[in-house]
Amino acid sequence: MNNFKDTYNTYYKLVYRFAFKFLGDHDNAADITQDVFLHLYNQLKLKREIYNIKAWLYKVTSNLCMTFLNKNKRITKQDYEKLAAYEADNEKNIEVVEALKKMNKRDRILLTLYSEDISYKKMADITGIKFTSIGKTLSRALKKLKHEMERQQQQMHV
Amino acid sequence: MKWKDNNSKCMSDEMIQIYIDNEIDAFEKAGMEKHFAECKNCNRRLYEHKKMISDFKQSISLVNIESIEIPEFKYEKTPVIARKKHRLFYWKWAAAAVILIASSLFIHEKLNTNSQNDVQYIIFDMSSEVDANKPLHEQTMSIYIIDKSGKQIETIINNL
Ligand SMILES: [Zn+2]
Repeated sequence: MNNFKDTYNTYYKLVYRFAFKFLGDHDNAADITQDVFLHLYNQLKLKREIYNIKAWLYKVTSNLCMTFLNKNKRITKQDYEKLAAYEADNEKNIEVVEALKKMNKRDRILLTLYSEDISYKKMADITGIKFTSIGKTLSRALKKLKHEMERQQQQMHV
Repeated sequence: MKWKDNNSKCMSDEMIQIYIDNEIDAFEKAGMEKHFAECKNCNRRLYEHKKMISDFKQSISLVNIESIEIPEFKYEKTPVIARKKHRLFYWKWAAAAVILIASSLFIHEKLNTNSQNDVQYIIFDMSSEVDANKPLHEQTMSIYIIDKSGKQIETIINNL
């Protein structure tokens, strides 16, 4: 599986960066990255062809990130408080990553893909949003994000 | 020169977005360029929209993970997503087993209908809200079926 090893080393950071932008957390980004490559490993072992490795990785990473959020959406109040305390202890994240966390999942994944300069066609394929709706959804999501960032900045200066 | 060509309508945000991302054909593009040249209002909106996009790309480019080390790949049978966050007590596993048996027929059907999607993993997950004070039948368990692209093709939330 030399092929796998090369791919792993070449694309590890690409997958990690994507997961980090989306989840805003290093531990979880590392976990998702491990899962993405485990997935790849299993596919290669089954001798399944992957034609466009980069596109495939973006797709699987997006899907696993979404699954991760779904899985953790029912979070208890205590968990939430622990998480908040943990986050306060850690270095503050980049503003835009924090703002992204406030968006709904669909906008969040779309903007993360957009930040990687992915074509509308691929975005549609990955998110399941209709190709003809990508422009509109994207434009709205960007506006919402801008407002969220402005809101965060105002709070900081109060 | 007229400020506005009556034949061409003002642009929607969507059109401006698509124009900036160059996701339109050459004919449409030419029409839009003509309009931007003639309509002061759309021209201003184009400028603002471009700025919004470049601000976004600029700020997200600050995410820098270059310093992280690439760990050695470890082959593990179970994906992390299925393992983490839920360190269950033994009694929760017992509860999970009961729910699992009760729902196995249901899962079996789901797997059959999804066989063309190449099921890759099945994740069983006791709810994080599991509460020791609640009786067993009020506990929730989620079952996720993940396909070969990592997509969640089925989510079964089970309340016995
Ligand atoms: Zn106009």
